[in-house]
Amino acid sequence: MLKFFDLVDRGALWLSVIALLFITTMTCISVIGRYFFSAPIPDDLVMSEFTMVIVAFLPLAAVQAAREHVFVTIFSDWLPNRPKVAMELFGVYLGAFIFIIVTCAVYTDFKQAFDVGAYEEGALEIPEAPFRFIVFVGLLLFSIRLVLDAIISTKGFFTGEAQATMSEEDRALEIEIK
Amino acid sequence: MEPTTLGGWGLFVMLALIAVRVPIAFCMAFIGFFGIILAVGWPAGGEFDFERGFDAAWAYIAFEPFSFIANFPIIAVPLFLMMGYVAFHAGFTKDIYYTARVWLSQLNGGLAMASVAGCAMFAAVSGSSLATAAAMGKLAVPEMLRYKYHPGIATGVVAASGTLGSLIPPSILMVLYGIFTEESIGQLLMAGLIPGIMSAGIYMGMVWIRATINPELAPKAEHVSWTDRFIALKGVWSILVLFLIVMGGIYTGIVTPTEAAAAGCAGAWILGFITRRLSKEASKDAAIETAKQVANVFALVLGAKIFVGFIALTGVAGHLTGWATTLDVEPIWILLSLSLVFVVLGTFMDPLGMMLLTLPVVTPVIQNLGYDLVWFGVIMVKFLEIGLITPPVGLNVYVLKGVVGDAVPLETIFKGILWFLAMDILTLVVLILYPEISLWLPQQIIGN
Repeated sequence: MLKFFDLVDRGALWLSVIALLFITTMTCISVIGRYFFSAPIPDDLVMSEFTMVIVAFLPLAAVQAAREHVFVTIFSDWLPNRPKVAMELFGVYLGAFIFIIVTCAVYTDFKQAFDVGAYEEGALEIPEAPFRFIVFVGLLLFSIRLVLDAIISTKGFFTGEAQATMSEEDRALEIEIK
Repeated sequence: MEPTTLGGWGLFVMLALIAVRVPIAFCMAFIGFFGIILAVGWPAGGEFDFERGFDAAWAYIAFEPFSFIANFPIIAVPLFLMMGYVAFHAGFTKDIYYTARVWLSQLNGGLAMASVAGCAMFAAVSGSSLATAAAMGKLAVPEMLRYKYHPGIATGVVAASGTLGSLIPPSILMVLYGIFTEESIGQLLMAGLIPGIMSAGIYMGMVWIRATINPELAPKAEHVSWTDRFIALKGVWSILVLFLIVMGGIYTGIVTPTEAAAAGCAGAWILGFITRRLSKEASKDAAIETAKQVANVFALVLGAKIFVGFIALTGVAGHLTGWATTLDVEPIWILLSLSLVFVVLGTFMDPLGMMLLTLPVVTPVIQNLGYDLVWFGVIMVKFLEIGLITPPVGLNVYVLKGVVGDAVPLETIFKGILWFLAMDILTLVVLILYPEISLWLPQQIIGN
């Protein structure tokens, strides 16, 4: 099951890369069109704004899977591994709790946009619901990853196998200039 | 419950959670959500009505994630990040260091001065001071030690110069500052340019003066012929082209900052491919690292947005503003007192997290004191930079210690950094005394 979610998270990560490349290309073409031919791509801003939700929300789960969220370690680095793992476990529970709530709330927002057929005014009248659904999907994947992390970390805490996450400073040390 | 008391408690619990390794994004979202429930559901002097508070908090978190992120100016963040990662993986940033090294090696302290240039450019494209300290530390510090540089200078210069990227455009901190304070992002990016170059120049000047007075601190490196120097210039054209695309586009008003970011991003990919510096593997790494960094930043941004909603409801900022304006002191003292918070927080907290955490409270006060928020953006970022190298913590210093291992004691790095810290304070004083240094360029934006 974990492998399945790894695959899904990785797929979501690549989708966000494709979305960002799409925004880059479309914006450049639109600028060239506007500047040289007075003809920008219709609704380019709205399309970019809506595509942005793919860029921002879909990779959240992959970052959690790699435990790369920003946190402060300096006050607890002196502690042995186990208390540090306990603190991180608390953080994962707290994150799962709040982001499950956010995910549910965002679903209601999508549902409302879907029910009323909300769309952005403009040449193409792009519907909002699919993009609000993407926000929900990104947050859902993130919440699932947090719950999985909570289960795995709890098990690891009791078996003594869990290791505290590397700090941002430690992760920075792995960077090499090519 | 008194809203300002609630706001105070919110900030206190937030710091407590941050101290126990809870990710900052989770802290802000959690405190923000439950803070809104309490702020709306428990008005001063009234009964606690959970349902009323919950409905308000629910509506806020349902609506904000989409409406805040589906926003054209914010798209500049991932685009600038991608441009930086592509430039890094194409090796453009390393070229800057080597070119500076070739041109400056004949001067006293030349390698340290080249490190300032290399770090500034690396930090500008990577957007991370910690990553700069780590990566440039591996590249530049061993070389300086090989040329018998004093270990304090060799390590201090890299730890300090890593912070320069927060000011030099394209700065992610500046873009997000602009979004949260609703200031012009183009003006903010322009505002950071002269102070950023000035900071680098002051660092270099200080190194040169010290090395000239005492050449043993930082001896000259080997002689490089003029032919080699001109050949080395080949290495910087790609970065210069990217810089011109982005800053030239914004300055002339041809494009918005987001469009400039898209052009810069496309430019980085194109230059990487035509110079054959971007292999398939490097392209893949650049893409994946961008996506992860984007998610990292937006998790913080999302948390901050929920937290901002709570702080706005409590009126803490308004209360603080009212209090600050009644004080019988010059506004500059209030500014400095507030700014000290950044230095203290900066000793242990990531600059972005710190900025997003403090902005909702600090900026209304600054605005009411009559200061320009574009100018304050520069001052704030400078304070964030100082926090990163302030003893006894200073995250950059610890990263560098991790890089050099037992070769240089921690105390030596801290001693080495003190000179750069003094230069930062000098720069800050100049920037506060002469706001025109920061504001002149933004005022020149064509079509503004």
